[in-house]
Amino acid sequence: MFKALEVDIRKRLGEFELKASFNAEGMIHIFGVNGSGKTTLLKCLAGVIRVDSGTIVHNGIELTAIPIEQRKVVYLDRLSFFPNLTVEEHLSFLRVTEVEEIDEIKRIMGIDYKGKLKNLSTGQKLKVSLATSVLSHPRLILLDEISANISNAESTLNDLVPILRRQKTDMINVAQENSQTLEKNFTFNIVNGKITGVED
Amino acid sequence: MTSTKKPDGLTIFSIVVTILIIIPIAFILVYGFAVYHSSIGFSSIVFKSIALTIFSSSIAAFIVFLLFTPLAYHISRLSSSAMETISDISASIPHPIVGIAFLLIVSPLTPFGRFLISIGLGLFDSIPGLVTALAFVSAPVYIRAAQSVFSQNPSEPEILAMGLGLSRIKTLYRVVVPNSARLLLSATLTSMSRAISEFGSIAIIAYVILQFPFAGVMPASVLIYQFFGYYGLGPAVTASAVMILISIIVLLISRFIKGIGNNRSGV
Repeated sequence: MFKALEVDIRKRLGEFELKASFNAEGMIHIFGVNGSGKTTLLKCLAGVIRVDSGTIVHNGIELTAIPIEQRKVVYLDRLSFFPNLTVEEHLSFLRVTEVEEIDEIKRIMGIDYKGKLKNLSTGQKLKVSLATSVLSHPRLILLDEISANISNAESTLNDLVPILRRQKTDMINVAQENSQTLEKNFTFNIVNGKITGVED
Repeated sequence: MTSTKKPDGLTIFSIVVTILIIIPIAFILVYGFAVYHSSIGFSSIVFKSIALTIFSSSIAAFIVFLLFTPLAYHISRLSSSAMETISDISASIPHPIVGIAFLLIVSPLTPFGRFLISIGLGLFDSIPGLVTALAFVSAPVYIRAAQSVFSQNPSEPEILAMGLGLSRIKTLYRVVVPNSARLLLSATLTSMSRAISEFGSIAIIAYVILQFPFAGVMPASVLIYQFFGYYGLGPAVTASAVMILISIIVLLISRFIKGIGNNRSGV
């Protein structure tokens, strides 16, 4: 059955081998213990790591060979922010975003603080980064265990779903454990580089 | 309760070798200012010469910053051993060879030299020639320092910027350079210090400047060498002491800026 995101990739890093094959769309949750290959998978999808073989297709467009800056896939982990920018500068980083759109996302995500990001808490920084990512209208947003650093993270992600659906952005949220409160469309478990679907 | 930590063997050895570095500098400063105190060493010729050296070294350091920041970033992220080796060449050859190479390039013997002369851009005994040689010999110092700055930075902000659609060059100038501004300024000042100390190449390509506003002025290192030949040790040591004082100030500013950069941290 056709899904927006179709992944079938292989990547070997020393003794470890990632063999990921799945189709999904919407809010996708992937969980697994440390060393199971979560970050490697996300970095392959983002184009940070080049895959050895296979394909990554999104809405019929093959992304596998597209450079990271043209892929429209945003990867976020706890260090993904621009420390020297203020909250406003960060949110309007692409310089093309409408003020109304910025105000909407600030309201939804509860971004009511100001100042340079380097002076904010980790959770505040990551909320701004996540908002910046959504405002860039990417194909895919990849969250590498950032939920643990944001207060009420899953509620915040749930609130973003209508916007993501409207702009046809899919999101992969990666965590150590499965989530019962995240409104997800697909759930996968990754073990030793192999990914399997999980029925919720 | 307080405890006093005794220095271990490594600390004592490090202090001893640091003193070895200081000894010749201290001798020059003491003999230059207190013992010889030569009036020629404090003459306007010396101060004009130091002004020329500071001016040309500043411009060279700025040019090095502009030209070689992208290369340092590229090497730090994609580790190109060929580019690294090439960028080190000017640091690993005797500097008179650099001067001779530039002299050859800009001479009427080469098509490029004939072209430069035809448009009135001779590099021999000129400020552009002096700056070019200084930039060439100080570039490796900057590239190494900037490469180290970039390597220590996390790559996540860059990955985010590229994920948002910025090219690598735009990521460099919108994300990486602003995040490392203080440390890059420190690296630039370190390369300026290296330019100030240069002698070998500029003694050949720019022994004496023939252009306004430094017509008839020699770079400081060349002037000190000439003082030693003409007047002997006294004037050379005094002029050297003045020059060393300026160099130390530049180096201290560089260290101070680097210190500020290192002490900054987020919440």
